[in-house]
Amino acid sequence: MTAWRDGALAAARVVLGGLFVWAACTKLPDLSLFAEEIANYRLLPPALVPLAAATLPGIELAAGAALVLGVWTRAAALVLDALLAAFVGGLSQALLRGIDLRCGCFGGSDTATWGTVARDLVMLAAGLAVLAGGPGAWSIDKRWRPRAAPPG
Amino acid sequence: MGASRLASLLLRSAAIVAAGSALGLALNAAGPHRVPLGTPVYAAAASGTAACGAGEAEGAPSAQIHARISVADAVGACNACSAGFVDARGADAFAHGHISGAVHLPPQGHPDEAAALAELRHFRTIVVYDDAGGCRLARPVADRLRAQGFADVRLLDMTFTDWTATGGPAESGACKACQHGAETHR
Repeated sequence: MTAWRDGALAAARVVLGGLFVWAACTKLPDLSLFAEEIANYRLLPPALVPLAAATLPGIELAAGAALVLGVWTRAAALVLDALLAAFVGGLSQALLRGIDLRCGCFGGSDTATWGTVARDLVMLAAGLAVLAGGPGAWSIDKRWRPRAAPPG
Repeated sequence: MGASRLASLLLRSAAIVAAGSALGLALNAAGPHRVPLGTPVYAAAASGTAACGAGEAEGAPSAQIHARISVADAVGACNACSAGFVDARGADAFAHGHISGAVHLPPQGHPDEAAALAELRHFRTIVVYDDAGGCRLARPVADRLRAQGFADVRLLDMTFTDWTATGGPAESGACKACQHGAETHR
């Protein structure tokens, strides 16, 4: 049972963290375009959009890599869960307001739909599982401190 | 979870956010298409300078909101040959003058559209413009390009007249990319 649990936690960590690392890598080549996609959500004041566009991929990259490696696992999961909750809220309000926009999630030109919201909710569930379950045995957190698991 | 563990978790989360933000700012500063931090970015249909506000478009409403590009950024992209330009106006207007290197692609199509699209495939970013105010012509062309698989299609924030007024590079003559097309000037 423990091996199954460790395997599930490791899979959730690697898939979720990997998705965020990939998402960051698709945005970094053209942050100017990403800024326009954020602006189209019409959630942030225009003056704050450039700062959000510049920092968000870096946060995704740092938290995603930490989750994949199992370093400060719970803290990384908390950050990604907060981002996913914000994405679900932002997408939902845009769809409810009838704003037709590109998702901006993984670069490219994917249109935001309720399917995008559902995908983010599945990712959020995986993130919450890691937040609750911890890093699991196959992580740097556990390898370095096997007897006293760190909170993060 | 005890209070000290919760505090530790929050501190580590804040550290990840701070480190990630610093990383993002550094990568933005070093990136090829960085976003200027001091310049506000407006939604596609909310800019006071937008020539393509959703409510201003004439004719059939566009199904998509396209990103825009300012004339200053577009002039830079033109000089660096880092973007392909599409002129959505009529053939007469195109022949009289257009952005240097632009491909002629009006909303109703082009006799040699395949050649025009092949020329544009050399570029990652495509800028579509017109001189119609409200982007009546540029919008449907941008929709069509997106449907053809061009991921980064932008509408010029102003018109070709504004482009020439700001000293943007322009030339006259027929569309060089559409070498097989004997288009009718209209």
